Amino acid sequence: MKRKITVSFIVMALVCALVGGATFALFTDSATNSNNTFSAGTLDVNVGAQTYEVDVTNLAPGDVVDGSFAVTNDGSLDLWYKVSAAGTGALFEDATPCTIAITNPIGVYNALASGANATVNYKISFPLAANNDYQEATGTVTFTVNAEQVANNPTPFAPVTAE
Amino acid sequence: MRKKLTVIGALVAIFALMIGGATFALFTDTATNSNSELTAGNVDIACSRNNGDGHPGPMFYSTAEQGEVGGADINPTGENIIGLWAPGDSHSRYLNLQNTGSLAAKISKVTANITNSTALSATEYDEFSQMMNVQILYKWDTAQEKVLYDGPLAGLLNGWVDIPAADIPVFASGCLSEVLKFTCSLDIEAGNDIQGISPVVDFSIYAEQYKNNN
Repeated sequence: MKRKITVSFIVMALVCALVGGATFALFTDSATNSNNTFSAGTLDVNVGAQTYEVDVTNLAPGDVVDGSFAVTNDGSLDLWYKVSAAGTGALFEDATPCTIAITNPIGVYNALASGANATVNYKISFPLAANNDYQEATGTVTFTVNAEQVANNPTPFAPVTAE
Repeated sequence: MRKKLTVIGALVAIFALMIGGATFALFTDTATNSNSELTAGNVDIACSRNNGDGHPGPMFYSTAEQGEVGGADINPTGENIIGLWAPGDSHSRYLNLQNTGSLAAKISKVTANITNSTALSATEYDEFSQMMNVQILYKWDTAQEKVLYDGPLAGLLNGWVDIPAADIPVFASGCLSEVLKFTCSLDIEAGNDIQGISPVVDFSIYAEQYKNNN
């Protein structure tokens, strides 16, 4: 008798499940829009070698040396670029160090289209007041070019504020 | 004599049975209506991009070639070529939905799939799917606006996503020009990890019968 009741409950459960299943067996369909491609651009800035108009291995106090290098936008997006310079070594130390001035471009930052290139010009000045301590001194000039995308970036190189 | 009586009795009994039988042999007939055919309706939706060119290609494409359909000589109109994406970019495109079935249908779920995921590194896949935001609207800029989805692409990549009940659109049978607006926005915070990648995304719409299901 007990087994018969158990079997009945199982049958009832199956019937309930079938009824429940039927409730959710709706007609359905789906449609797909395929192959949406989102190609991201690239930002790739490069610099050429520094070139000088005069020999920079035999500088004397009072010399002003003109130099330049190329900046190239090898990415697919237009970019803003900003140039900074730093001198290291004895020529850039102590009381009358050499100074570096970027003469072109003159903006804090400048635009460079994809595939385009620009020339950065600068002057290195060795003060006439430099004394004998600078004889045979050496120095190294390093230019750093930072780049940011032009698109959606009206205030490039803005300081990052902590959130 | 006794035998004769027995035969007469048997004949009477047979006659009585015949009379009785005749009593129950009624005239009868049946009629059948066999032409009541029952036909189930169907839910059948289709979609095509609505970029002004009437072709069933993708909504979003960065180059003309990407917008072609099966390599056919279908060149999308130039104004719809998005070009290369940069962080902060946002573009809207439109999808025509047709309910060609015989039943009214409600759009109840959406999903998406990056079909060339194997061409992306795990970092590229994660960064792109988290930073590309997707918004799907119906009757936008109206009092009846419905938001089918609004969030990162990543939220659509793990199967069907239920549309909130209050935002479920219902399309009558035979409607051919309902339009959904898709807006994809690459977050300005997207990092260099996704430079140069070209994820390919399928967007899918799920429809259910509306009758007896609302």
